[in-house]
Amino acid sequence: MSPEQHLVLLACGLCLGAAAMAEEELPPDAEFLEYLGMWEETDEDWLLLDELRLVENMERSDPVPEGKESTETENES
Amino acid sequence: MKAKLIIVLSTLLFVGAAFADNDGVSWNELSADQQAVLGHFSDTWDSLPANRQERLATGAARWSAMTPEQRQQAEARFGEWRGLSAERRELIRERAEVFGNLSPEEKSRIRENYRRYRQMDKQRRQALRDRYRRMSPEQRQRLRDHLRDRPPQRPRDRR
Repeated sequence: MSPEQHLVLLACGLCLGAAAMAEEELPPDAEFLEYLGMWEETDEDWLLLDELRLVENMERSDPVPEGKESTETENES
Repeated sequence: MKAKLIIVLSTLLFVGAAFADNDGVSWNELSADQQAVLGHFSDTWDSLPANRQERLATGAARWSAMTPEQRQQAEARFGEWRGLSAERRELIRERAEVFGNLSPEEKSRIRENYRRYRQMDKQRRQALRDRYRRMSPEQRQRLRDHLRDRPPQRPRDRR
């Protein structure tokens, strides 16, 4: 086998190896794992807690007397 | 499949028990799945602070138990979480501590109400908020009492 053929075979081997490695799923990074692990039950908890924050803000805002409507608005974000 | 579920549940319970004494988690206590996810920490694991070990171990267990679709959804939520201001994240963390101190029944009730709320479309949720905002303190209290006293929804009613 000529040196050129050797080189071509080696390059093919490297390409196949790289393709196989790319198909394997990499483990998530540490920051993401810590994020997943910081909640009591699931990371969806923070959406619930954020919603509670909005409700608390509404509670803190001046409540309107019965029968009257508030003109405040709050956007979902 | 059932066997895998039992292993995952056992792992989560085990991790939960390990957290109770707040001594961190030793590398040997991690399941094979957790060790695989946390592989690049194998040499430095013992030097990590206990609370970081706990978060990583729980995160790895949760990641291992997720389907590909759940993983994608969690990654999207992580993107949202990172996009929040530091102040808003801190407020959410503070509420997480308060929420953690509630009774299991209260937590369950809040989660159930939130689950139903999330099932509504965005417009309906906004309408509900507007309606709540227009309520007097007495009306709000009556609503809270009603939600507290309502019997839990039966499983067959769930979508």
